[in-house]
Amino acid sequence: MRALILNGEELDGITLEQFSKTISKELQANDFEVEEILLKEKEIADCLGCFDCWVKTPGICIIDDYGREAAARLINSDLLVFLTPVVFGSYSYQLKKALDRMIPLISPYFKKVKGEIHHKKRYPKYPSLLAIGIIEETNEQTSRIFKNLVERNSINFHSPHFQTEVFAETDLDYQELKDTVNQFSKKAGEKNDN
Amino acid sequence: MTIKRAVLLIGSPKGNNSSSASLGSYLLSKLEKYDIETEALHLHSEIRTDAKQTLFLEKVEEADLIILAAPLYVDTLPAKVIKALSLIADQRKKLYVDDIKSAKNQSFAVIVNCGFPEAEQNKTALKVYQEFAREAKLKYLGGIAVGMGGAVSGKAFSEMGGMAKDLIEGLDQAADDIVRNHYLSNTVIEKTSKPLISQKWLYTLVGNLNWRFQAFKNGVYRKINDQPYKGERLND
Repeated sequence: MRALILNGEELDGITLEQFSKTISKELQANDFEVEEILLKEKEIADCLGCFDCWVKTPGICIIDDYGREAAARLINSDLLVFLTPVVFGSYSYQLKKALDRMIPLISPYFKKVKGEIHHKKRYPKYPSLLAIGIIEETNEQTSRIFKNLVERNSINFHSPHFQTEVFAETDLDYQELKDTVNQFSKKAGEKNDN
Repeated sequence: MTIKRAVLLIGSPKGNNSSSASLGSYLLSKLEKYDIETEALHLHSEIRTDAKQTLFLEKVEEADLIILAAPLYVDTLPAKVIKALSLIADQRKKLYVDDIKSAKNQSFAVIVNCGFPEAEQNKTALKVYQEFAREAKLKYLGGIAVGMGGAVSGKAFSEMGGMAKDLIEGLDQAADDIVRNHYLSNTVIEKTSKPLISQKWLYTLVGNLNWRFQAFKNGVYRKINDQPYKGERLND
């Protein structure tokens, strides 16, 4: 099984290296082949909002940069980790520049999910999603927004399983992070074909 | 605080050919009738270089009111909007630390639109915008959530006929509220979140047909469901 860590560390923000190493080690211990993309080192242009990836070059973004490769790697993984500083309750620019380019992985066609309209799957299988948000200090409000956002993403990215945890830099418990990754790895390793 | 100057930040990469530009420009035109000086800035070009970012922040700082009009991308703000708002928040925080007296009272209102029929799908993004306002120490005047953005798609409201009636009335009321620096009234929220096309099934049917038509025009009708990355083995 493959796991992909999308590291959304900012250019001038805190380093997430230690988090990434801990997550990676725990995933490996659970038999995952792990790959990490440090997004700030990759050339990924902003999405143009053109929808050509649906109606001109179906399934492939028209921008020929690392965004295409990131999409290919994401869809061929079983477990996806978003590792990001929490920015206003949302993702960092570095993570979001990549996520905005993942639209080619879903279908343009609409379908109803629990009474709401979303897009159909393009692929038969999508990875489970574990989101780890890092904030400077504990903040219930931003943590709630972040968790809500990941839940919404899990619908639109057709994640069979998802989990969100927010850790405060000032009060960091690596054991809790390890436990989270360990438990989610086991869950994601189960039948992953929703 | 009297609002004398308003700046509209357009967060769509599609520039003037976007629903964000249509919605934001309409609201701005209404504010101009109250003798408010206005300026519209396209975020994607305004923060491209360091030099441009400095100018952008100066323009934002001059305004009493910041209006942001942006699409919903992957359930939240488009990447570029996160970047622009981070710049603004950092600048404001710095001002408050360095020289609190020079930190100006500013207000912030937002219009979010999504391609899904349900305006409620913008709810998470609105919470993010509110949090931005809190962190940047801006007075939050509220957020307008619009669904079925695909039906607007850069059009002027005059071209949309009766379909845009509620939306227009809602935005007119929003201008009235904003001019008084008041939080957006319930009428604004209700009117602007009403579906532009009353039947959801009709919107999705037309939407699905439109994707097929565009793919046909581009000669890829049979490829629309392709899975180009299926089973691809990628090496480092």
